[in-house]
Amino acid sequence: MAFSTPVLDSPARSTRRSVVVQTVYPLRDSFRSTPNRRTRGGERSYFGSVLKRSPLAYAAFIMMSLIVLGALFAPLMSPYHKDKIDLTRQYLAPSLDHPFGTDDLGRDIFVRVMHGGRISLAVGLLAMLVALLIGVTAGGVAGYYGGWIDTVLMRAVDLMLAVPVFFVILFLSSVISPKVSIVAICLMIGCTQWMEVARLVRAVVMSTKEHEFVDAARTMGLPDSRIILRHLLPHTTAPVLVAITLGLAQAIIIESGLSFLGFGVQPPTPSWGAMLQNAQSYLSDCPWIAIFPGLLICLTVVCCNVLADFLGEALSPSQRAGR
Amino acid sequence: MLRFFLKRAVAIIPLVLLVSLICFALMQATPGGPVGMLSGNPMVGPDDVARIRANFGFDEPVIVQYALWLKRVLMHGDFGYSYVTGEPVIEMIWQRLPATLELMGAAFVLAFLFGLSGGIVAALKRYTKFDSVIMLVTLFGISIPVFWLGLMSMMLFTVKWRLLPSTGMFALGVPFSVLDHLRHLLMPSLVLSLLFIASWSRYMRASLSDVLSMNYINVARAKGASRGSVVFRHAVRNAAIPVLTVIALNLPVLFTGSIITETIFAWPGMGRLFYDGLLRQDYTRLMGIIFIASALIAILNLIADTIYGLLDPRIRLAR
Repeated sequence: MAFSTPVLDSPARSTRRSVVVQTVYPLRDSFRSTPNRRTRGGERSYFGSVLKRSPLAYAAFIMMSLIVLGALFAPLMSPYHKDKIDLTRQYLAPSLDHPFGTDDLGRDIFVRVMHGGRISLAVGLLAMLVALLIGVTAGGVAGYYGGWIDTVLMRAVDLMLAVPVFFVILFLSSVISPKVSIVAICLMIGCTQWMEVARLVRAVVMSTKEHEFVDAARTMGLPDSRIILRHLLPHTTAPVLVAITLGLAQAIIIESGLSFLGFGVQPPTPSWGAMLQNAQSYLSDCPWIAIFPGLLICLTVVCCNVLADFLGEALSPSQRAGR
Repeated sequence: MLRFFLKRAVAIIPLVLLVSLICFALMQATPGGPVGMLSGNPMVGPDDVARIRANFGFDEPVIVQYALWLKRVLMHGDFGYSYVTGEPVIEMIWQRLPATLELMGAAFVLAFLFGLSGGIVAALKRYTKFDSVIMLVTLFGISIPVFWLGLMSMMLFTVKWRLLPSTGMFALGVPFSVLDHLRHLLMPSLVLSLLFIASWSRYMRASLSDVLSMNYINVARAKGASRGSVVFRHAVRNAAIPVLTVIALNLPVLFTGSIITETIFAWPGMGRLFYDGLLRQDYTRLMGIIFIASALIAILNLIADTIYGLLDPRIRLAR
């Protein structure tokens, strides 16, 4: 296998993991076991209790909730309309009236950022859904059947990982521009982000299918599809959940990058990236045009990353088994 | 070792072929196919288009076209001519490649030095305040989108403090000086490298922490090896192996980052060329760049694989 797999597992696990700083694991590496941490209490209080012991994850959870709520209730957040052009109010600095200032067309940046959250988060989620669908299917089939199907699919993963996919997405957007629909963006991002999920699912399915209960299911004459869907895939939930949280962050970054370059969400629709499109011209006089949309991207991505780490720990099987 | 290298080198071939297939398919997907741009030109009549199609073999079956195209690309490096400027695409890329490689090289070196050393220090001081600070900073490092980082650093270093120039490779109207060039290089390369500094130091920390808790490290310590020797000769060498995988996997991201960085900082490299091509829908150019970038990534991956084999005999001997 040429384009080597990201094997971060070293043979022996550290057992000195119990000390405080738990949330700062490297990404993608986070679903390893932390044997020394135990929790008491039922399933319901489990997340709560782990969350409380990890202040960073707690803060990220609250921050993320605020961003999501802001996006959901965007029209209620401010008296201004997101697309209302008001040339008497151009380039206003942040004030009580306009907490994030106004842009070159006199639009309120705060309300646009909140609306932009809707687009950016929706694109991220939809793209991850696409990636999840492709990744789980490819990984499940490859892991269960093995053989040439596995080889072909894993070669495809290698290929996708070795091609600068962002170039390809940009190219495709340029082909279908100027009317790049949001669904098309989600599809393009989703089709280039499924590899991580596929690898994880494949690995888990491959190891799980050796268990007796799978033999039992087969002996009972269950069809392969049912065995994969009902008996094998549930075991992949924890790592996949972590991977899609990270993937959500990636998708948001890709979308904002595309929109920033002008090949994603098209104006006047606000998305965090699209709002930064012209910001470079106003850096010297009205930096707030550039600051706030980017800050929101950054905060969202930080929250996703922290929560992914947290989920990785909270869901790691050995920890749950230890309860 | 040579056998290992050759095996890996051979493995590239199907990959490059597949990439070329993707490029060709993309090209076919452009509106009107390869001569689509010409039909919009009032100077070119329908019979001209037909003649050009015949000349380039566009009327042949797709498979034959692909074979012809591939032959031109592999034999002569001929990606066709730019729709916009009429120059051969390969020459345009050739002119811009050094600037891109310089920017990416500088970013890579910065990321390698700071990323790995940051990770090593964090792992040695694990669970101290210092470690927490590094982890928090790197958390933001992996989360900041590169274009926003570019805008913000431009805002601070160029607009506000007037420390560094924000565009181009050289100051205009001034004779060339290395210092001036480095000043222009500093900000784009730092911006491009931050993501990698952050993510590699996180990986290095995790990997080194794992290695440091292994028994053979205790053995080395017990034998009285000095701390420096234990860390660098025994631990880091092994800890670097998984990190190297991550570095290899990050190469496409480096290219992605370079499009955005070059666009923001008006760095006259391949990424900027690509962006201009996007704006003008210059598909032959875009295709050429995608192909060259993929080929470069494949070659860099081969280098990474080779280093991997050099560092870890298990990998080299296993296959």
